[in-house]
This record gives sequence, C-alpha cells and structure tokens, in this order.
Amino acid sequence: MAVPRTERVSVPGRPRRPLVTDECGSGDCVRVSGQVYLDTLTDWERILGVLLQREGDIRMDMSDLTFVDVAGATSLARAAQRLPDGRRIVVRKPPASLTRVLEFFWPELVAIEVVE
Amino acid sequence: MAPAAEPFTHPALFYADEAGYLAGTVPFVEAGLAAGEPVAVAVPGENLALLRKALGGDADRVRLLDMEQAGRNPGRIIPRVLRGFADAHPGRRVRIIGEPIWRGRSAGEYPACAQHEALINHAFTGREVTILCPYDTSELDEVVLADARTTHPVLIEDGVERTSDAYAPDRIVSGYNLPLVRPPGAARLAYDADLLPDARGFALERADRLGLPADRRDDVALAVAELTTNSVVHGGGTGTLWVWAEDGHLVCEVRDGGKLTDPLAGRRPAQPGQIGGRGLLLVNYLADLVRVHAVDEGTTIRCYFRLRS
Repeated sequence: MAVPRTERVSVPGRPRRPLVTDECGSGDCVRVSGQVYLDTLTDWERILGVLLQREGDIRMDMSDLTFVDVAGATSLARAAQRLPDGRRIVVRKPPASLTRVLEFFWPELVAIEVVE
Repeated sequence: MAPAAEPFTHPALFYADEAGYLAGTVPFVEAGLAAGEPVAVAVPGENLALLRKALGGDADRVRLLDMEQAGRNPGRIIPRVLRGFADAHPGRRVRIIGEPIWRGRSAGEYPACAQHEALINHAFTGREVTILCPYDTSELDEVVLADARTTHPVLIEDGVERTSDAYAPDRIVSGYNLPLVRPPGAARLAYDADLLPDARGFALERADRLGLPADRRDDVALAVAELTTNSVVHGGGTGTLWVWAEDGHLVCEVRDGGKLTDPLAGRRPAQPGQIGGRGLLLVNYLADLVRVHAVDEGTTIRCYFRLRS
C-alpha cells in the first residue's frame, strides 16, 4: 500500500513545514523527513495509519526527522500498542526528543525497536 | 500509628539533630519492613547516607533515593518519586520518607516545595500510603516550619504525635501562587500555531549562547515545545516566550491567556494507554525547577535548567 507523499510547498491552510515521506531501501522501509509538531500531527498519524495496514514489521527511517513532540510520540506508542503480537515498529535513527519521551512514558514498550 | 478513616497519612517529623532524625525515621522504616510493606526513602544525600548506615542490612530492602537529584524539581516528586513508588505496588500499603526541603533550597525553589507538600494531600487522598516528611528545625526558617504545620495534618516532635491545628493545605497552594518577576532585557518571542517550531529554535539559539550544556538541549527543546503548544491548544492560540539566564540557570518562561485551574496538572503519572496530558508532566520531569503563576487572566509557566551540569 502506498504511503501518502507530501511536497515541500507552502499552501494556505497547510503546515508550513509538511512531513515528507518516501520509500527507502529494501524491505518496505519508509523514510519520514521534517518535524512532528501540532501542525504536522495529522499527517504523522495518517502515515502511521497507512503503515499499520501493511504486513509484517513496520520500518521507519527517521534520520531526517529532526523533532517529535509528545503528542507525536504518543501516536507512535499507541500505534505500537495496537500492533498484533510479534509485529514491531523498527525505527532507525530517531531524533533524541522521541527517544527521550519514549523512555519516560513507555519504557516497557517492546513493540518499538530502535536501530542505528 | 493509629488507624484512621482516611487511609492516607502524611505526618511532618520535626527533628533538630542526627539523633532526633534517626529516632523518628528508623523505627518508621523498621515497622514498615516488619509489616511486609514496601518502603522507600527519598531524602537529601547526607541524610540518605546516615539512614543507610543506621539501617545496616535492612537498607537493602528499602528503595533509597537521593532527593537532591530525584526531587530537584519539586514538581516531579509526586509523579516520579512518590506515586512512582506507590503505583508500583498496587493493592498494598506503602510507606515513604520524603524530605523535599533542606537548607540549600533557594528562594526560587521554596514556593514550589511548599506547594508540592500541600498538593501531596490531594494526590494521595484515599490511597493506602504513609508519607513521613522530615523537617530540620535547626536549619530551616520559621516560615518553612509554619508552612509545614499548614501542609501536614499530623505533626511529630520529640516522639509525640499530634494533629496540626494549622492544617490548611489549599492556603499554601494559593498563597505561593505568586507573580513571577522577569529581569529586564530578557529575549522575547511572540508565537502562534505557525511559529511553534520557531519558538523552539529561538530558545535553543539563546540557550547555546548562554552556555547550556549540550546534553541539556533536548530537555529545553521538549519543554519549550510542550509549553508553547499548550498555549496554542489550551491558552487562546497565542503566547509569549522569554529566555534569559539567572543565578546559573537558563530560564524559559511562557505566558498565555489560558486558565490553569487544576492544581495537580503535570503531577499525575501518565498511564500507558492515556492519549493526552503528558506535556506539563514531561516539563516537570525535564526541568530543574518549574514555577507557575496562574490567575484568571492567564498562566505563566517558567522552567529552569542548570547551566553547569
């Protein structure tokens, strides 16, 4: 299933800095670029919703994601909590803000795996 | 301690010296252990060492925390230290020694400490918990001791336990809800929804210039992001951010038109499935001190980060 692609253009009523997603590498990996904030939260949740429909583990490259706020981290954690047993969200190079929030609030959430 | 209708008990222990400290705390710990209750001790480092030595082998059966670290920001003591321990033992009575106020607490920290002591009463109503709070009468100001009599329903002094006639915790919560004075020349940015990421960048740029250690940048970024986002979502859509350095701390202050009416906001631990309500809690976890001034016209929240780690 395709992940919605967003462009770096400023459209009235749209976030000034939209999230950009593209497929990366092999194994169904999706790269998300930008920052997850109030104005991009809806996009972020839509991206996660689409990924949840896929089979197997969800792989997200976050090396170009510069910030995730608490609401964004909460959406990710809730997505992981909804995964069937055995499936995981594998996250590559998450921003420090996300790692810190996950450690504080979901230290026992094994469905999110962080890789370098 | 005599059984009471309210299962939560919150005595203040007034002590003047080492002997008084140990006489008031060691039997409290030993009685808990003898009754099979989980016991935690969160007190300043020096007193922690004293208690550890006095407890001998029993110290291994007690959760020991240095309050100068765990409770440096008084706003995180309820969620992280006290409820953190109590909630980890559901269905069992727990006892905790919590000493949040010591001689080194600054004038900026103290109002938050007193409010914390008052709010413990609301946070634990109905819970099977005993929290004993030692106060050093030889070191602490008379105002602090008077406040302790207002925030604790029970007082213990020289081995005698009595009900506090002065108990009125809400008076302390409102009495220390004080206007916060900003130094002249603090850098300022007005923000709305579109400028939220800019507000974070603004704070970080100033923080770097003022000498914030690199390992605290993420703390500042997250705290400023949550406070400014709260303004946009709950505080009327806009707010103002100020950043400056004061007494060895980076200070970030956010002011908006929101009305903060819940005194326990930011002090309830988050449940894993809970959707919102983590922003202010996270700020309490990250900052070294959080001060709040809430009035009908708006809310000011100020967080402090040590410039030297």
